[in-house]
Amino acid sequence: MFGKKTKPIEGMDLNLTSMMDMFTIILVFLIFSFSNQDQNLKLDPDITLPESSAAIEFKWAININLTPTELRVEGNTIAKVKNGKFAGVKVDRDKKRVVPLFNWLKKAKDIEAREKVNPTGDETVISFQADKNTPFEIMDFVMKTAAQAGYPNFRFVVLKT
Amino acid sequence: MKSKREETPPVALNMVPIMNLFLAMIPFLLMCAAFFQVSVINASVPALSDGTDAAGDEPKKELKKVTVNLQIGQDGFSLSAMGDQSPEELQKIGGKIPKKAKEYDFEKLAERMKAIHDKYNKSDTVIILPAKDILYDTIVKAMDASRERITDKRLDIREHLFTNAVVSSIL
Repeated sequence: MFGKKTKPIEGMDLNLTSMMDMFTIILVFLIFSFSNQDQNLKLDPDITLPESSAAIEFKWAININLTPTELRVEGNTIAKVKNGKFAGVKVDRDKKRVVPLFNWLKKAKDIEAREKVNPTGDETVISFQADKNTPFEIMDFVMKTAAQAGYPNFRFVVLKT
Repeated sequence: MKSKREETPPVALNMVPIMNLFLAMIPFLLMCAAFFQVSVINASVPALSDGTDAAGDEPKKELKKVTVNLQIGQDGFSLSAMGDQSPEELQKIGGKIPKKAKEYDFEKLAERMKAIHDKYNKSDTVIILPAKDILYDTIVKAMDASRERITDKRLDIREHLFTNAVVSSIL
């Protein structure tokens, strides 16, 4: 009644050339931005790192992150930060020491003395990530605490310009 | 005369295995891609010395080396130096770099540090003394200005100045 029957479509060849071109471009771009950086470094999403022209690569270290709200060591929250000051945590102002951080690092130092923890075999340093708007006063507490626990050397993590 | 050779039909390459390979590689590379580069700055905190190194013989005077103290305050930078030179000579190294239009003058600081390093070329240590309320970003920029000078940005050629940064607080 309705006239012609539609013809069955024959096997159609897809033209993949343009898709191949696109994939090749994406592949080249991704190979160039491939990172061979140490996966031990995890950037904290709560921190806006400062920018720097430094060109030293990251190596194995103990991670201390000082966000606007928390102090974390290897991902564990050690203390809360409120208005640029430590809150609800014991701070020895005479010795310039954040007590729970000191205890954590002291324990790490003891473990390090017994077992080979650092895979590089070099002296263990602190990898320090802090928000670019962190005042020096609170940073100083963290740095002095680490130094007293036996870690006087730091690597400030920054974004390469 | 026309050639009687039969014309071979164009061969269609089988792209499917290459496509499969690409599809496997792209997610892997996407996971490992770094869309921003992370770098580190070496710094240390001053350590107490028991003084045993200096015991006994008189230490040699090093006139080509100074240790620069860089104070960062709300009004700008303040430089001073320590070394085996005469107090008058050390005083000449020091000085103030005030803020320019309410901003820290990092260019002037870099120039000053380069001039000091040119004169005392064995120097490598700068002690950075920020005030309590100075922001981390300012400290990092001051460290950049005193650590090195990029002479060629394209080829990434750097002239090293004060590579050993010690961060401490003003007492």
